[in-house]
Amino acid sequence: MSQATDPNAAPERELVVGIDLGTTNSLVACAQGGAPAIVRDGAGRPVNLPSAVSFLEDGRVLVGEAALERAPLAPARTLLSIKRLMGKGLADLGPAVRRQYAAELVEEERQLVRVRLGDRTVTPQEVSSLILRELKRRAEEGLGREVRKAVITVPAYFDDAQRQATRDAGRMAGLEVLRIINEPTAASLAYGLGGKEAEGVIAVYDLGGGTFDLSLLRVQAGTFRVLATCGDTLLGGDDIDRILVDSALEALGERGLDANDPRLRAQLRAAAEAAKIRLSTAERTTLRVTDPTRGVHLELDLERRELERAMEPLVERTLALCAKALADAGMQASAVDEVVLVGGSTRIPYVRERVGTFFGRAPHTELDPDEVVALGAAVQADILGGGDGGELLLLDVTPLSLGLETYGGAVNKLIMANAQIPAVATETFTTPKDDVTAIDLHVVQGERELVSDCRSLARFKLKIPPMPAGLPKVEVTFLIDADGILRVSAIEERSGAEASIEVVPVHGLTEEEVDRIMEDSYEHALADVAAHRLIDLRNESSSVLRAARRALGQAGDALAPAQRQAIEEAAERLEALSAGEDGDAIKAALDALNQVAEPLAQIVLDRALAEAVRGRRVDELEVQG
Amino acid sequence: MSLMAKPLPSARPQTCPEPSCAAPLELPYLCGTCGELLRPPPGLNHFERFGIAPSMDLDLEALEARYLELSRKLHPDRVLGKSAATQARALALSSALNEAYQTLRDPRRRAEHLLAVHGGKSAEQDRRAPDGLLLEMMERHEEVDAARAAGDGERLAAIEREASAEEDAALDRARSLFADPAFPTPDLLDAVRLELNAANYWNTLQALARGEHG
Repeated sequence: MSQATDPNAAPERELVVGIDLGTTNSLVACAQGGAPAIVRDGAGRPVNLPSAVSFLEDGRVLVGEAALERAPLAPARTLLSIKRLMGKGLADLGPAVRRQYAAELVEEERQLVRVRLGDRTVTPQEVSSLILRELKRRAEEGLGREVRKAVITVPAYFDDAQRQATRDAGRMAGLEVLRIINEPTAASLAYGLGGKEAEGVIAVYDLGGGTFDLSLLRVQAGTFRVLATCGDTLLGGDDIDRILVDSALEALGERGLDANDPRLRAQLRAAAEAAKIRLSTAERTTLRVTDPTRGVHLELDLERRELERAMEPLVERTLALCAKALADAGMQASAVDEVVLVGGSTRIPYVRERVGTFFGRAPHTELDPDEVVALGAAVQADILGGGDGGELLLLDVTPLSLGLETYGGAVNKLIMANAQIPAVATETFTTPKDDVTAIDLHVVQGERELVSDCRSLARFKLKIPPMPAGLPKVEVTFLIDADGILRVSAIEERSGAEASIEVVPVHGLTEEEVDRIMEDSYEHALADVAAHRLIDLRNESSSVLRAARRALGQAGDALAPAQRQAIEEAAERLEALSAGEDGDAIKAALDALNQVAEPLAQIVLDRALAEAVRGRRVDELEVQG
Repeated sequence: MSLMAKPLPSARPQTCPEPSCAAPLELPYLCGTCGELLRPPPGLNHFERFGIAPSMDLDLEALEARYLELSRKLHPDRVLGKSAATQARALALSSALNEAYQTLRDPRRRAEHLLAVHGGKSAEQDRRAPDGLLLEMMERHEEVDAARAAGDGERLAAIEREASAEEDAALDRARSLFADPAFPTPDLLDAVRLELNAANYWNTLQALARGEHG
């Protein structure tokens, strides 16, 4: 089969980027025309953005580094780790997770977590969309072209609601999300282990800040097929930090300091993380917390071996999960041909060593474990955009079983965990009583036998004509698409009547809500961007004007009269325009002034350099004198 | 047995409906020549989905190779940017292919499907078990409960192994019945149903011993 002769094929390759929308950092990568690489922004820096958003009182929004810097000053209006709230209800979070957020979390319609910001609330989807929008903007500046399409990664264990929330965030950011792919699957693509001839099994060991998961993939004839995936959403590098913090607190307790002081805990956590990172290269280090204003001065000597001993139970837990994934896939550790590491915690030599021993082979460490997911997403993005990798195909699985509630609160599973996606399953039901006119269908996700132990995904009503008990034949179909997102449909076959179904997502947004938010935020964003740009341009204009006039005063005599006049005219023009609202005109005047003033700037620079040299001599003389 | 193409019933189109292609069709929902995805005829069974004759004896490696080959043609990733109708068709065809593959590669599910293809009763329609099996199951379930209460992991693993061997034995007996020259008479269909019910009981016991139920 060849697609090359398809007359509908787009004449030009469309740019599709890969985005790792992470809990702490988010990255954009692009693989167009060769090896994947992290996209650079307009200033040449890699697009690696802290996943932080700060909502200022005046309505402005900071995203990334600026938001992170603001976090200590405005904790209640700054959101970190928003990914943990995606597709969740308040009850899902538990007290430990809720405590992590200084902002007030509330729940409005459909048990969807929202963040209160004064008199309004925002959804995690909106916050994530602001991060995506900033990623998009920076990537566009660096690439010099519009970015409209993307592949976004999610953890393999993300459930339906979390995947939908991610896709909705992409849409709100003005991105067409071509595919939601699993992070471990993406990581395996990044290493280019799937050449046409390649065959084998890849284990992806992902130990991030807060979560662990392991996926096994079989590579065969250009296909990447996920065989099994399992993990623990409450196990990660943060736990290692906690071990160090606890040791430090023990030491602190002896000095009579308050172990429950939040500021002290935050300082300790940061110091512990830094010490942990140093121990990846050094054999010993000192965990140091000093706060002279409060009389805190703590030093704790740490050896790598101590850290390793403390980490051992945690690493053992990850290896037990590796064993479980192998058992699920029906294979031995020796069947694994390649081991890929993902997540900052896999930089720790002890983790690498234990994982290597477990699988009997050295793990791949060539790529940065923090970048590998974005790089892999870029490979998939390139394939979907019609790139050279077109022979590669990802065949992913759904992480959790999906079923319907039946009588007595039991779950009737239609699609089992680790089923290959897209997946379809159909189940036929009837009614237990006469003249039922509506059937309640409750869709749940999870491995347990009782509805109360599973996660509620959606409820909907199927209206049917009244019939005697047992006569209706209700056929319910579950369809999981290639993004891992569920669609449910139901039809009563006997009446043949077209059934009316309204699926109301639990912990999600309706299509209309996404559209509305998108319109609102788009309008705001346009106004925001325009206002922002105008402010930036005015600031730049006034500093350029100031510099140009100062330079004219200093060195204007060195210019030809015509040059001097041109600069003065350009400066006047810029000054007049920068009071107005036309950003493009200001920009043009600014560029014009910069251009005509260049010879002047050169003269000023030369003189300044000469001054500096002279000045130093004077200084030296003075010192000697 | 290798994967042999089954002749298509004459009611189905024999050639690709794309006028520019018109190549003969090997599968009723996919043109192997131009890659056009077609509306599948209603009621296509899992064997037909793979273009193979219904049988208990499948070459699993050949089945896997065929699965990957077909996935490459049907997966929604392959038709991004095509019309919404083509994308919807790819979703329907690839999800059905996945369901067919997962059914056929598992001997117990393959046997269930093969019985259904021949018009045999479902487990819901005929719940009978071989003589004495229900009593044995009750005893075995008690044994699992006792082993679990005593924390006897070795005993649980042993029960799981025994149950797995019993399931295989029941499936082997079903396989012989399918291979009977007189198959499918109503008696033979019922006899297969009985063996598959036994296999299902043994399968549930394994899950119980692994701690996946109850």
